[in-house]
Amino acid sequence: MNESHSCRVAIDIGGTFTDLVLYREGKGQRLAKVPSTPPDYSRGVLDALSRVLDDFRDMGILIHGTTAQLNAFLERKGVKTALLTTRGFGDVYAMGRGSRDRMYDLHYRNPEPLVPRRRIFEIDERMDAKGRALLPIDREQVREVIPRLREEGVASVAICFLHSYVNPLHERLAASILEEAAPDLFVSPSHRVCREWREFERTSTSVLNAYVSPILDRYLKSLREELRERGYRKKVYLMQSNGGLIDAEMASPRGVLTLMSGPVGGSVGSLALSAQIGEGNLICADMGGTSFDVSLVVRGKAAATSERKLGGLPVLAPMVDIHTIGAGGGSVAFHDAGSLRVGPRSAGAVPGPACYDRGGSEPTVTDANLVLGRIDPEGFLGGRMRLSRERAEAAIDRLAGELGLSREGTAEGMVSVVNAQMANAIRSVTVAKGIDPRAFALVAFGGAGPMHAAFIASELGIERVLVPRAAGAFSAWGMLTTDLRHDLSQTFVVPLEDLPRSHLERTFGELEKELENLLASEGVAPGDMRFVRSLDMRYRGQEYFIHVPLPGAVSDPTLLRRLFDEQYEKTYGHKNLAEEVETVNARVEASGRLGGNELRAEELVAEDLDAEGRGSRTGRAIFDGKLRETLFLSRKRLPPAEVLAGPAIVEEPSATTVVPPGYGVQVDSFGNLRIERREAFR
Amino acid sequence: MSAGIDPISTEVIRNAFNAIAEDMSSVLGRSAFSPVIYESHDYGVALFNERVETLGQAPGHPFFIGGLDSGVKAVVEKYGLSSLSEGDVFTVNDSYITGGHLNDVDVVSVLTWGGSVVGFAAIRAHWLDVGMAEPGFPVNTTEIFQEGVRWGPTKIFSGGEWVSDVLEILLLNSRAPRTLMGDLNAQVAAARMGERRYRDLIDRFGLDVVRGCTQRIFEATEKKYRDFIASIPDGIYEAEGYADDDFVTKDPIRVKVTVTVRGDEMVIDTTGSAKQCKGNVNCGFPNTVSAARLALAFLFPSGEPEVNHGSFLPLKVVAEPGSVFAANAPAACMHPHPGMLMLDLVIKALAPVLPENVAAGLPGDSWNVFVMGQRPETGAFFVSGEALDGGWGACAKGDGESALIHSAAGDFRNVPVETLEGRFPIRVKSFRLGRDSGGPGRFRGGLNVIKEYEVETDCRLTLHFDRALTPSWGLFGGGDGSRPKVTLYPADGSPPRELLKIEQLPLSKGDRFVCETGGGGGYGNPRERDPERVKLDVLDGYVSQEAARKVYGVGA
Repeated sequence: MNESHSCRVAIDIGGTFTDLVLYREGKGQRLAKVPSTPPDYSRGVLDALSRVLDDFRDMGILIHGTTAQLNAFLERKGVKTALLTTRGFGDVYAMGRGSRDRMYDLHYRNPEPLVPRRRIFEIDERMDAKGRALLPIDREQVREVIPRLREEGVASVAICFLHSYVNPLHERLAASILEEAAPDLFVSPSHRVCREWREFERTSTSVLNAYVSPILDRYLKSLREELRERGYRKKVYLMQSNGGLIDAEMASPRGVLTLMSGPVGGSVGSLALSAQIGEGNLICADMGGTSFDVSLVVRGKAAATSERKLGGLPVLAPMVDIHTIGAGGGSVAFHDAGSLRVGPRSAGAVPGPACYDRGGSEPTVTDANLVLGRIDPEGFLGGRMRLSRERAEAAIDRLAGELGLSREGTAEGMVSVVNAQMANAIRSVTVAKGIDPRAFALVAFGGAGPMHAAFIASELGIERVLVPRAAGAFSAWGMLTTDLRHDLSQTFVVPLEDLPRSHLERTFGELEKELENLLASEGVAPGDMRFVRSLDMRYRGQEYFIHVPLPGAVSDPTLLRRLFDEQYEKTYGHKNLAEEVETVNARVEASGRLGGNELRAEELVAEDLDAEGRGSRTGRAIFDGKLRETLFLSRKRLPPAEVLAGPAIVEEPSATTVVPPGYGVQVDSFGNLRIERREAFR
Repeated sequence: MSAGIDPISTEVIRNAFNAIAEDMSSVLGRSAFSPVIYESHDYGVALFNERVETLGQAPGHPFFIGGLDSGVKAVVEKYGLSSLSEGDVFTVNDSYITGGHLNDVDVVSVLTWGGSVVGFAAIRAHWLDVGMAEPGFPVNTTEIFQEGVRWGPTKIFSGGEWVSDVLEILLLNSRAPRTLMGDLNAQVAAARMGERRYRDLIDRFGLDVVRGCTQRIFEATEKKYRDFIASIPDGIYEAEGYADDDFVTKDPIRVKVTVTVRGDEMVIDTTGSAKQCKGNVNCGFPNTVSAARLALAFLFPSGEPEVNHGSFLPLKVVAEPGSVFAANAPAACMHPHPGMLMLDLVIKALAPVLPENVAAGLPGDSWNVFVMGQRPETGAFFVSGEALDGGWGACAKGDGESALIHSAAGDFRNVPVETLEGRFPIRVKSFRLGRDSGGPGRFRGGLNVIKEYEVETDCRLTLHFDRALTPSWGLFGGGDGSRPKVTLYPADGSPPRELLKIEQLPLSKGDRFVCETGGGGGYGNPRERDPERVKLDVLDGYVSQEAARKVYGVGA
């Protein structure tokens, strides 16, 4: 065993809180939760670390997820960026794909581009679709751009030339001219972040990378310096959107790969949980104050995507697939033409729900749970925050008056409406993937998730709900078990029957070589590296493709065809044997174990040092319109293995779990809560 | 919790109707065989009760808004509600019933609960080939018989079993029978999902509660639309324009719209428009109804209006039988594009009284470019098809967006240059926004696109470009957007040629053609435009220095 890795720390930096989990071999884990400190998030990180560590040198590994770049992008606070394109195509970035996603909006506008047209420069050069240079690049034109970048105060330049996914030569030449002549500029040629066709999406990805990478770089430099001052000189790892880690020193040139570093945490936690309990199929539901995020673990793997829109702009990068709707504890209820509506508007953290007594007067889902007695006003956040029952009642009474319903009826109605919305969201995620939710367990986390999970599960016919330990620091916990991971892809469009097998093998070989170098530079030994190849394929004529994992070095067209047909049928429920098939992208996913010291999720079960909270007591809560005697107890006091019958409320500092009447709850051997219908326990 | 006809059940049921329709369309999308369905979203999905009142819908294109009821009504009229039973599925594609071209095929399944009919699920999808005279999208048909096999309401599933005789006729008459079967299966699968989910909903709430809540949903929605119409001053509002021609006769096609607002009711009347045409630009009446409904939804003061049976109760749509907007058999209906101009004119007619809601002239044509031929290396046949984007009209809030798909389509993406060049022997020489193409105004119209092509092999070109006679107009002193135009530059040096609609024109290797679509209309007097915006437009190259000076009165 490698002594230097014996103490691992993972930190998840969210918009509101920074969560930390420390795991010491054989001694268990500790948690810390501190307020995040935008714009300099590193202060929150150091604060959290100081709470659990006397000496930073005790740390073997520091892993973290950050939303620094995502926030900079969403708030349009990235660096001033310019773009170089092929002559004749400088408007591609502004034009986009021409589609309107709000179809009845007569006043539709695209999201504001990150680079205005006046900072887009066209350069004479042209490749064809086979990567042959039709027109060599005019280097002088690239040099002439530099003084204009200076005049404009540009800090970062993206480059995206047509067909650079086949032949990046011109992009490379342009980048090296800029890098030599202006070393202070950040340069982001598209082929360094993605090698897939479709010029608008690739341009958008490289512009986004240019826009946020300097922000990430600044953040990581300041963090590393602070850590060094406190004696920590070992590696810092960053969560990537793909659910794997990257050495922080290598992360900043490709900030776009870690954009979802924060939001991906819940899925990473669920993946660890899946391994821990040996359950391959999970629906992961994260309900916080403003949003409800759904992701899936299918057959032990996080459902991923290679493309999505962020803030309305497309990004081509491997990412865990997360679906978000506006439903959370802060969602505001209102009366609309005879209906009781909830959300998507949220009262947010300020003013927050009425019961926070911070000036909010609109009724929210949290207020409804309080009025129903499912939240103890004295027990919220482990008793650290006292809630105002009076304010919650007043807010709900106003709405009840408009609707002609009772206070309790309105409150329970609000909860029913929001539960149905969340169930609909889960249903559409599963329907879109052809999955039956009843074959899955529901993992609930986030501050509000465990309060609603049993009701959502019941609507969907899901039998089992799991509430992981430390549900509030679940993301950080999952990061402790993650490997390094890098993905590379190369567009490779060839009809399957004409497939040049040696060319395919060479393409895969080159991708693997590049990935091997990446992992080696992160200190991974060759024996700890794993490579998984896959091919994106489709029927000829389609734009979209499916992702086909390959069992090793396969290049036989007949076998590839069979694998495609099987995967297509799995995805869409049918196949079309007579239709021609072509390849689209070759992909390699490389993973590397951290220093040969594998930490398995199963080991993460030791005592934690959570606060005690209030003791057990009997109270009253409303279920199905009736006031029921309900047991309130601290999660730490739950006896292992014993089944506790609902109605019951399980409290912990970061979350509250509701066990409705007719359900039971049991602590499993890893400390997770398992909620099922009572019959299931017999 | 126990459920009655209350605000809570109403909201849960309202959400469920829309979620069911969305999930039906998701099933269709992931199981359809044709890219035009799952990529271009050429489909519509809706759920109805037994009175054929729309409960919820999920149109892939906005033009399919509330437009599936006509096919379902035709089924009920022909067969009678009492003879329908569980497991029955019908299909219809007759253009005069559905409003679409014959490729738009409706599948209607019967929803039953406790032995009686409680509703319908309807799915319209664009089929690749229903046996028209020529493959593709011909612009030269003159009667519907050349546009494919046409069928009225027809049973294809009886009590859960295929009516195989009917199926065989459909398959025998298509150039793409496998795809047809795949798409039909996908439509049936989507309908089955609708059936199951509607049944679950009734199981949970009981039929009386579902019906009672449905009534409340319709009433609430109807009230919103009535309140909106009532907020418009009573009056008769008119607008007219001309579609270019039907390709066959070259005569301009008059489109006249009269909108009458009285109290909380609105009538959209196309009387005075052209008689039905010899060429294939005719609309079945339901197409005209869809255009009118979409215009109302566009004007509704929220970007995401509710759409159900209640939405369009206050709206009446009128067209003269035998006119281009209610064509009689055997009029050809392949490109019912005057519907888009009509929609746009409804918005124009109401501009004086709804200045905050309207927009200036929109991209009102699909500007189709088809290049077909044989690959030089293999001899294999290829067809490249595109619908080009145009400039959207400006409004009281700001400039029109540039380079957007026309008003009838929504989430429809253009073809990337890299994809086009990778797949076809075509080179794109440049692809840009047209400087000064957006109608000038206090708020500027969106810019058009200019795409320059060169063909790398001998091939043929089909074009459908309209709206040159009536370009996107400006409002309140704003100027018109630029007119669409296509110029062919033959490689042999013969003089350039201007084109708009053409069927399979032979091209030679090296021929170039430049397609310019329409720019959006401007809104308000250009002299009132914020000079800073004009300067930025000049810096961005969207407006020339000359136009800045002459039209906007802003020096560089």
